[in-house]
Amino acid sequence: MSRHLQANISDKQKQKILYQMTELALLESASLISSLGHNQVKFTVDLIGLKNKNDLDKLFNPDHPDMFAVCHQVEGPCTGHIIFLLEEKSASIFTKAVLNKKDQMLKLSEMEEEALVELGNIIVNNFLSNYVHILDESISTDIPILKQQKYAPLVDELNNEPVDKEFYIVRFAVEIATYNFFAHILWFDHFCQLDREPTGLHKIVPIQE
Amino acid sequence: MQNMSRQLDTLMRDSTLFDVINSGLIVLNHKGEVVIWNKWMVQHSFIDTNKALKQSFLQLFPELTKRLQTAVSNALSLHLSSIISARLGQSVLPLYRNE
Repeated sequence: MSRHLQANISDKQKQKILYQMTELALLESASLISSLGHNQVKFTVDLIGLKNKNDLDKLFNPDHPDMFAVCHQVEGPCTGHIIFLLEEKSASIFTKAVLNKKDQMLKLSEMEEEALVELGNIIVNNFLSNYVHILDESISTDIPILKQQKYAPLVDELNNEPVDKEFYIVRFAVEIATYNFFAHILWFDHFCQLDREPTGLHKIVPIQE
Repeated sequence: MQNMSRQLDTLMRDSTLFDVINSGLIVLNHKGEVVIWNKWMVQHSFIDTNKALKQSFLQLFPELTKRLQTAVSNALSLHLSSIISARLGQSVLPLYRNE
């Protein structure tokens, strides 16, 4: 596409694209995780927005700041990070429910941590494959790494720019076995720098607004 | 692409190095064909190097799990990395221990 045909797209348009990508990515992820694990899982989009560090205490529970994050570094026209993030307790419930582990221990074993990385990788890769198809953009990712950290320093570390830099967040409800909790996808830099109309929106199924 | 091709040539020239690794190593080219198949893979898959090389990975293992198929396709066409562990109860490839 020539430069003069490129158009800046608004935050509202980005959120619409992100919503469509999210719906599709979560559907594909839930289907795959249900087939791999021992329990059916359902994901439902709850919130999509452009946020900054000052919003963190409203997005997460300051009484339970410890989080697990499966972090993927994205290289391409814009570099950045995309992470699958959830509270420590939710990470434990999610992983143990997928693996059908009955123990109530909060701490994850090394094997369970490996499984959590794979679960995060499945979800993030579904986001990114939709991103590539919709935007017709070439990117690459490194092998994901697991971080266990409080949310504020984690966001600081990944957002290695001014404190007020914005990032996109997707919060989605997870239903598995008898449990309900929230999980999140955070996009640093990459999606925020999107400055042109997507070329592949026709490739995804339209959704009701 | 030329750079990648040169890297592949170097890899293939040094492939004997990979035979001393005590893990399975498979390298695919952009068409999904096997270009490195180390000794560990021969011993644990019972597929000879000559049979594996230049074969399409998906044809070599036609009953691959959907997860692995997607991971290979994501890597080759979208450059996305995947982690597949045996933790989720999957047997990633039909490999056997030689007792």
